[in-house]
Amino acid sequence: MKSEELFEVLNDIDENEIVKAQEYRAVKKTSLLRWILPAACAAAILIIAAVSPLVSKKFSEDPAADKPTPAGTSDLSVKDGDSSGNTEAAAQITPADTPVITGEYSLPENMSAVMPAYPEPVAAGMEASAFMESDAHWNWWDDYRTKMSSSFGLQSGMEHYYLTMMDQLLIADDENTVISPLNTYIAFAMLAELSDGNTRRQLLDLLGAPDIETLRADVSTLWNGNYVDTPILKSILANSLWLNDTVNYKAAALDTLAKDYYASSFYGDPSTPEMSEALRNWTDQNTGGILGEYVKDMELDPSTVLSIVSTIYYKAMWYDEFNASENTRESFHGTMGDTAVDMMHRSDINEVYRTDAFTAIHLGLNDSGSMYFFLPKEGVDVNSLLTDPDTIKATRTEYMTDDENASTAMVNMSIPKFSISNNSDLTQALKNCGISDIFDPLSSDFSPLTDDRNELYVSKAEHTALVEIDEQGVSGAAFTRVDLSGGAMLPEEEIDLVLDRPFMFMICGRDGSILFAGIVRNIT
Amino acid sequence: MNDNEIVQLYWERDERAISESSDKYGRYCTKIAENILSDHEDARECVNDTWLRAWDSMPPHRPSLLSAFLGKLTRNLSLDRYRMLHREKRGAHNMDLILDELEDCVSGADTPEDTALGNELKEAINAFLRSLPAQKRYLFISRYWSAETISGLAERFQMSENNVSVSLNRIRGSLRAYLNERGYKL
Repeated sequence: MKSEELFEVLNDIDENEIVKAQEYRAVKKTSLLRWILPAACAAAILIIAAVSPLVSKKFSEDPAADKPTPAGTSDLSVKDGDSSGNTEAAAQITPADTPVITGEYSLPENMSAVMPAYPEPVAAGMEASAFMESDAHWNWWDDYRTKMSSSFGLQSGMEHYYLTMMDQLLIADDENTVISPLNTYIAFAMLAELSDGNTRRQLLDLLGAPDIETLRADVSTLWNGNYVDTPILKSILANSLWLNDTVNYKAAALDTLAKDYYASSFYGDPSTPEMSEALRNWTDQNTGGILGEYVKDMELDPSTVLSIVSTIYYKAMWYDEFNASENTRESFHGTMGDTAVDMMHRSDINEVYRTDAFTAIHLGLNDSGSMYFFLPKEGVDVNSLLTDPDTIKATRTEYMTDDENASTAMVNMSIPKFSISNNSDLTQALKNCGISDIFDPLSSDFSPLTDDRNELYVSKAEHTALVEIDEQGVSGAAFTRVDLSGGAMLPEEEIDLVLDRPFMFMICGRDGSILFAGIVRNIT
Repeated sequence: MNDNEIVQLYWERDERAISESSDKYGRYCTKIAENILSDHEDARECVNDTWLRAWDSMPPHRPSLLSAFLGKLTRNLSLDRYRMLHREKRGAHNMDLILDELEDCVSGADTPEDTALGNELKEAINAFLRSLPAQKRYLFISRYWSAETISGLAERFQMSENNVSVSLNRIRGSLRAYLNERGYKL
C-alpha cells in the first residue's frame, strides 16, 4: 500500500471521533501539574472477614511450618516482626528488584508476613504533565494496551455477575449505595481458590467460571488489565490474607493466592490488638486513607482462622475538568427532600444513550475508562435501572456504533459534587445468589486451606465502598482554553442533562470492568 | 438552518441547499482543503466541487453528521487534486510531509483492491484509534484526517512542535504494530 492510499482509507475514521478531534482544546498544563488532589477518587474494601472454626483449633508444634517461603521464589518475601519490640516497615525487606507497593506499614513483633512483589510504579516521582508527554507514557501505554485488550475480552462474560451484584447490593429506598463489582469478584475468586467440591462449585457459578483454572487465569488477566500506578492514574488493587499462626495451612493454596492474586499473607494471633491494628493499617494504606471512618472499626475475632481483605484504590482525573468558578448552588431533589448542592456545569459533545427508562452520558477519565451517569426518566424508579440490561449496554457505546439508542449530541450537563459511601453485609446477597455452603460448617469444604475441613465457615462477609467526584485539580487553576475555529462542526442536537434527582453511576476501567457502581439518592 | 433542514433541501432538489451548506460549512471545508493543498485558490475550487458532489449524493444519502459528510467529500476532492498537481516528486508542503509520515505505516507496494479487506482494515484502524488515550487519538485524527499542520496542532494541543512530531511518530509506530499483529501487511 502507498501512503496516499492509507490517507484515503483514513477517510472512514469514525465520524463522531472526527467531530470530537476537531472540537478538542487542550487545557493549560497547569491543571495537570496541580493534580495532586483527586479529581475522581474511590476506594473499596471487601472483607470475607473470617473463615472461622466452629470449635477450638488444634495447635501445631510448628505453626509456621507450612507457610510459603521465599526460598526458590523470586517474587515473594518474608517479613518477621522485630523481636526487640520495635516495629519495622514490611516493605523494606523485599528484594531490591521486586519492590512491593502495598505500602509501608508497621509489623508488630509477634507477626510475620509473606508478600508478593507488586508491579513497580511507573515513572515514580515524575510530574503528571511531564509523564503525559514522555516516552515513559508511551512505553507504559503500549504495555497496558496489550493487557487491557485481554481483559476487555472477558467483560461480556462478566456482565451477568455485575448485574447480579448491583441488583443485590444497590437497591435501597433512601440510602446512597455504592459497591465495587470488580473488587467483590476478585475476593470471591480467592475464596473459591480456598474451597473445594460443592462449596467451590457454588462460587464458580456465581462468578460465571467453568472451573478454577479458568477463573484463576481470568482474575490474573483482570488484575493486570486494571492495575495502574502512574503519575496520571491510580488504580491499585491489593489482596491480603490474615492468618492465625496457630493453624497449619496448606502451602499450595497460599502460594497460588500469592502468585496469581498478589495476596500478601500475614500471620499472627488474631486475639491480639496488634494484629487487628496491622489489619487496619494495611487496609487504610491500600485504600488511600479515605475509608478511615470504616477502617477504624475493623477488628479480628479471636477465633479467626482466615480473613481475606481485598482492596481497590482508584484515583483518576477527568479528561476535561470542570471549572469551579462556574459551579452554582442548586437544589437536589432527593428521596428525603431537597438539599442544596454544588452543581458543576459543562457543555460538551457527548455520546448519549437514551431508552424509555433513562438517559446516560459518560465523562472520560485520563488514561482510564469513563464514569457513566444514568438519569432515570421522570416517574421511573432509579432502582429499576439495576435490572435493566440496557444499563450495561450503555457502558459499551464506545464499541457499539450501530446501537440505535446511542447518538451524539451537545450535552449541557449539570452534575452535583458528591461523596457517598456505604457498608454492605454480603451474607444475604450471597445467599440470595445461591451461595449457601460457605456459611454452613457442616456443608462447607475449605480443604485446600487446611485439613480442618469440617469446622470452617464464613462468619462475616462485608463490603465497603466510597466514591466521590468533584472538580479538584481544576479549582483555582489558571487554565484557559485556546479558542480556535471549528464551532461549525457542532452536532445539531443539544440536550440538557441535569442530575438534580436520584441517579445511578458506574465507573468503568479502560477494559470495561465495572470498578464502581452506585446510586445517589440524597446529597448532604 | 439546522442540518436536517439542509439535507431536506438536497432531497427536494432545492438549490438553496448549496448556499446554506456554503454559509454553514464553507469555512470548515475550506480549511481542510487548504491543509491538503496549501493553496487558497485550489482549495476554493475543491470546496465549490464539494457542494456539487453533495448535490449528486443526496439523495440517496441522508447523512447523520452533515459536517463530517461534507468534510469527507472535501477531503477526497482535495486529495484527487493534490495527486493531479503533485505527480512529480514531493516537496515540503504540509500534505507532502503528511504522506512522508504515513510511509512509516505502509510498505509502498501495490496492493490489490479488495473491498471486504478494505472494510476490515478500516474497522481495525477505528478499533486502534479507540484504544488510544483521547488526546493522542485526537492528535492523530487532526493530523491524518484534517491534515492540520504541526504548528497548528502544537498550539491547539498545548504541546511543543517537537512533542507533536514525536507523539505522532509513536502513534504511527503503534498503528503499524497493531495492524501487523492482526495480519495486515500494508
